[in-house]
Amino acid sequence: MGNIIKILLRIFPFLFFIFLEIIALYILFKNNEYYNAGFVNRSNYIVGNLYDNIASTKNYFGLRNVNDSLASENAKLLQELFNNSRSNPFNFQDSLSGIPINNSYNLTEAKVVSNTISNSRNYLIINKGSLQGIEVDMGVIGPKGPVGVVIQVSKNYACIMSFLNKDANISARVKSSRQIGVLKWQGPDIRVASLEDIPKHVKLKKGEIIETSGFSTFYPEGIVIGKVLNQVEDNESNFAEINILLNTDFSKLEYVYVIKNNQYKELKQMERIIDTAMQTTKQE
Amino acid sequence: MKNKIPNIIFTAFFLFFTQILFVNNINFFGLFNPKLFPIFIILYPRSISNIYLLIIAFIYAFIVDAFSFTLGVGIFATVLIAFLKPYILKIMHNRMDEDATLSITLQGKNFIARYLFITLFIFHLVYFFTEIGQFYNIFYIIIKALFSTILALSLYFIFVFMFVSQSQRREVKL
Repeated sequence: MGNIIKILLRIFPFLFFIFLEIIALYILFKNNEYYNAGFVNRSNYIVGNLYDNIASTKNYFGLRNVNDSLASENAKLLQELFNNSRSNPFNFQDSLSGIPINNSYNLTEAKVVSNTISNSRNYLIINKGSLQGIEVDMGVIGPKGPVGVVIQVSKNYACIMSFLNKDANISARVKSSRQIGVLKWQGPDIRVASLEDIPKHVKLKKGEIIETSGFSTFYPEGIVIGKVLNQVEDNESNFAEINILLNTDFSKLEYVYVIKNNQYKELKQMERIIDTAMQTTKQE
Repeated sequence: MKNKIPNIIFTAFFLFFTQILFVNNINFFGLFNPKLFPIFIILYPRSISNIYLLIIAFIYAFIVDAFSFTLGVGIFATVLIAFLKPYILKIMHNRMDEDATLSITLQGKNFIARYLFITLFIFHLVYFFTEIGQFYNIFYIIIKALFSTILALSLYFIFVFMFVSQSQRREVKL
């Protein structure tokens, strides 16, 4: 009996080590599940608050760049406004104005307080939360293109799954030919993503513009994502793999816009109706 | 013995803040992505029993992980290093005191550099394996671990020689 206790005491550190490693792996896998990312709320008060303080001091040094990007963004918006008013000079009432097509997206601006780019799953924290109307599943765009999707919300902060994440993808299309594919990032280069599900016979030229397709509920259609860099010839599959140079420099993100899709609930409801209809027809 | 605890707390806070504020933003070519925080566990005084070291490693890595959005990855690698530490020391330096402090002044620059290199390399290798989680790009992971280790080691020595003066280095045992 004494011997058994002695042996147990001797291997106790090892057993304890195994126990801690199992807990670590449990936390790791629990935390990587896409929507159940709930072991520790990533956008919690302590983490958000610390990074918020750091970001507010850091911001002073980047004011010039922020100013420049805001000015160019303003110019673009003014141009759009100008063009729109010119195309409708008499401002006449549209007979279809009952359909709220133009009001389907609301934008909220937010400051990035923390941003990782060095992992294979990257996240951002912004300084707007549920009190400011941010909800899970909202899309987020930066000044130069899509950034990610909100996955967790606390009162004053929200955690965004960055596009630089193995689990993230964007429904994208080629602007000129309207060919639709899925844009994914596999790393390690933070400027390059790959466009998948494009049939092999489609040949894309270098520099062709890739934009969002509008098929997902996260982003409106027509937001420019990047340009074609090169096409990888792969003999095994029927699909071509195309490298895309992203417009957004994720290492320099400071301000982002959270998009609220006002028809999100309606779309989801529609999807649910279709799903149940499909299931009933299957059962029959 | 009496001024050991303030030193330990200082090292913990210093490495924590350098890691989350400065080093986490380093990512040259996707290859240099050093982790400095395990140095706290690697150079922790040996007077403590292995079980306590495992617990400290777990809690410390948990806090660092929560701030770098890699929950679980750092804990796994740091606890592994805390477990392997006594064995590595035994292989490298079999005449060392049971409760000796690990410092540049006691064991010399060469020994600490070699010891840190080996432990940090194992740490980075395990870290990137669990983080990237794919075995097909094994060469990429090995090269990334090697480069990150070299950068982490250089950063550590730069910090030691920058912030700790000659006389302090003799006393502080960083």
